[in-house]
Amino acid sequence: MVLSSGEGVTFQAIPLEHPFIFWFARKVVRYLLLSLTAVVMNFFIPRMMPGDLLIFIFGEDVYGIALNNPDLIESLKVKYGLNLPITDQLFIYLKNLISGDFGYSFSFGRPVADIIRERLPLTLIMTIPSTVLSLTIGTILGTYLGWKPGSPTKRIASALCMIIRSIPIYWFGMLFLLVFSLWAKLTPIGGAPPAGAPLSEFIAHLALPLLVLTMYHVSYVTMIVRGLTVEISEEPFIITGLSKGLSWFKFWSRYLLRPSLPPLISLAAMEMGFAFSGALLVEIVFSWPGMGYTMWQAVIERDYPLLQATFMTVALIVIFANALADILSYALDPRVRSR
Amino acid sequence: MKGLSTLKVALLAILVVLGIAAVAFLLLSTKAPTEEKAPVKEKVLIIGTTNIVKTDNLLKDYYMGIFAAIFTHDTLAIVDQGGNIVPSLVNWSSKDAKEWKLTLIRNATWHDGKPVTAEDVAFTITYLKGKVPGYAIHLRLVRSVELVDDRTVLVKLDKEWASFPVVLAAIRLLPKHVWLKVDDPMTYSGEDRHIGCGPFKYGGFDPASGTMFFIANKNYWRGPPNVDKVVLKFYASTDAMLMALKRGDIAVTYTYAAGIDPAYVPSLLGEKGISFIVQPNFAVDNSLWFNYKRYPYNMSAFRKAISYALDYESYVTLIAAGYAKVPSAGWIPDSWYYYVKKPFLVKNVTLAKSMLDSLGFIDRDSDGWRDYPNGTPFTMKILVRSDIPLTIRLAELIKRDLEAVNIRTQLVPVDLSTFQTILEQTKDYDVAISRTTFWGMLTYAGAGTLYFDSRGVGWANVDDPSFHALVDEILRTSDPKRIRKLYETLQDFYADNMYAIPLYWGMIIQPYRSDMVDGFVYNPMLGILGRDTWYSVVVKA
Repeated sequence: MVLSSGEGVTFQAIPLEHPFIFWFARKVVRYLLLSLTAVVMNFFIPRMMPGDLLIFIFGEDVYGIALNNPDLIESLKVKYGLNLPITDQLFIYLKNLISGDFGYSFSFGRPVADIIRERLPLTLIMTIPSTVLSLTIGTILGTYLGWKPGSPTKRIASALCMIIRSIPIYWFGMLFLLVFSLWAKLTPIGGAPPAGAPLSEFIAHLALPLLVLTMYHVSYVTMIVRGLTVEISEEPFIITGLSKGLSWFKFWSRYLLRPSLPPLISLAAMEMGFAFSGALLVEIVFSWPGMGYTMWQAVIERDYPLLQATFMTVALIVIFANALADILSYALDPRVRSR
Repeated sequence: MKGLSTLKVALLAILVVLGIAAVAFLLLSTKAPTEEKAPVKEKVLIIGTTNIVKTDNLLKDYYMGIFAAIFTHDTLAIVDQGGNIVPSLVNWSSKDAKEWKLTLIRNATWHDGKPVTAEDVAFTITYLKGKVPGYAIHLRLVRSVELVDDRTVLVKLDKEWASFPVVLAAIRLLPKHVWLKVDDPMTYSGEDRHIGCGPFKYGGFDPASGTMFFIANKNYWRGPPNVDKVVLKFYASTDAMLMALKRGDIAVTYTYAAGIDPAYVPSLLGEKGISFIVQPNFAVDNSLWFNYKRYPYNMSAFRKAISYALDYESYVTLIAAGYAKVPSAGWIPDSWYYYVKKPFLVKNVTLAKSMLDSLGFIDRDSDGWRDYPNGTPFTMKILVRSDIPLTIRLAELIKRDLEAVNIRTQLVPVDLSTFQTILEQTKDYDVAISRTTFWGMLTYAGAGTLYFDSRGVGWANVDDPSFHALVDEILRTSDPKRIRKLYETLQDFYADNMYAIPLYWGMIIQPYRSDMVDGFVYNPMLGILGRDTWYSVVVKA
């Protein structure tokens, strides 16, 4: 089948009986089920946590006395729908979700959708560049360290990556704040810039959290790619590549990088998830009001609607990243296509 | 797909993600500015705090309520430097502690220029009781509120309540002309929600940069404050806040009902330009709370044996970095006017062991740990708040001390929400460690009774009828001399029964940059941001 755009350019459509269609349909079903599972789990997990959200409605000081006033407790439970059976609450949650209603945050006193709209970009602005940079730098560094890995410099660099990965990310955050913000006075101490601030100010605020998150993930990607490269460098096709007398870049891209790409794509999808979890701690250290910081606040205050929505958003982004990785793997890896 | 080379696909993927990042960036950078730049010669006080405001609705957000009481909304009564409740906007009188006459004593005006009236007072009490859950509890005994004349309001209670004026210090006066039309104050977002009659007008809130600001109210009934503008900067961690203080980004730190963790003091001591205000804490920094309704913690002798096992000196040194005192058995800190000197707590391991032995808690299976008198293994489970790192460290020292007298001890760290649910709702605990707050010390029948009485918050879960009778008598007594006597008797109860063991009496440590600002006046309730500060604070150039 050939489709024409009307401008003389033609696109080759994939025939319905093409194996890709079956593969893709299978994947779509799988990811839809996964998304549904994530949505349902996001409903139940916050409710399984110990602690009463009414503490934050009454206030810490008077909660204990309020418990002696069952009528008031009951009226609030009715107001927030907490008196309903859990299955009814789940049904209402799913129904609202389908209509795009994420609910109302108990602690922020605002619609959850507004909070996510405000805060998700602040996390994406950190996690997306961090993922891209860590994959790019980590891949280059990993293949370099994995090719003939015996030299002392390479051994030290590999050990350094291991050390960076072993140190908690929030400790790095504090260290960088101390060095770059307090001593060198190069960057502000925490927070995002005020709305409408100039680009330079935005970059100054973002630089340190982005650097910490990227450095942390670079060390991980480097270690993985180094391992892959060490494995690949023992394959017979490497000797063929070397015997061709190619330039280092051509040899690197064709013989070292290309075979590593399929696992790297899966790694990239996983990295997106790790970037979000890492961003949570980084956002707290740097008082960066993104999704991680919001999740932390929602957990502390048992803000069910906000917890559900933030976890679900992150889960769906990670699922989407995995789906994208699957499609890319299909395009790049003949072994996937042949399955 | 086959036509695309591997590298091209990879590059395309990178471009896509960078594109998404660029779009997200554009979304962020095109928002309109909300905060104007400060004029050059304004006296601006920049305060750093970890008390993060999530929404700027004073009736919805706990910390916004605190900052409203500090800046924008006068309360009906205030706490003076000695911890007493004194009139602010109203004075009060009562013959029987059941009917209270409130008289407006200031010629205050709202931020929009309208006068504050007794009608606003009557409206506020009725409105808060009916619409705001926290206040519904504070004002639960209020039966009716009547407007007597243009300056007087009569509040009738269901029963005698001598501590009613304490509640007046929690009531932020609301303008009737704004809130009358608001059915759900918890979700109200009208611009006029910030109108109060306090020393500052609300300036704005930028959640992204974590900044809130207030502008001096030139028409405040006590006169304009010494500073033109106050900027609050919110920090998620104390470490980041103290770095900002060292760097001079903020002039002072603020934490409601607390200073900074004493562990931070050494790192600040050598810093040029940083000074400290050190004040005794009116609250009890940390106590070991026994569940009075659970065996063996219901036995006074057992609780006293535990008190001899603890090394109070080490808590003062290692936890409070020396900024504390060893407490007395009377529990009430010596900063209170009604404090009665009781024996100070001492460590005596030999006595602790012999007391436990005589109670039958001996090691019956030779495993090194004491068992119940019936032979079953005994473990003391201690519930600890994990939201305060200091408390965890303290709990580890207590575990060390209890294990030294062969009591097997298990620490159970939980977050604040879980802690309160267990201590105040399910009551399923042996022992817990927690601090009290100044407000908690004042409220209910005062003198910390809120934390002891099983009918209050009841962390000690005490249902001893003689204790309840004493609390009830305090609640209905309005004569100050008699109340003082009753508080003295209460301290006898605390010392004789040891329902809770105070672990140390700490100090409030408040750092500030003396090269940027000076003249803070400490207030036991609002710390350095009490009303008096605004008339003595000096912002330096």
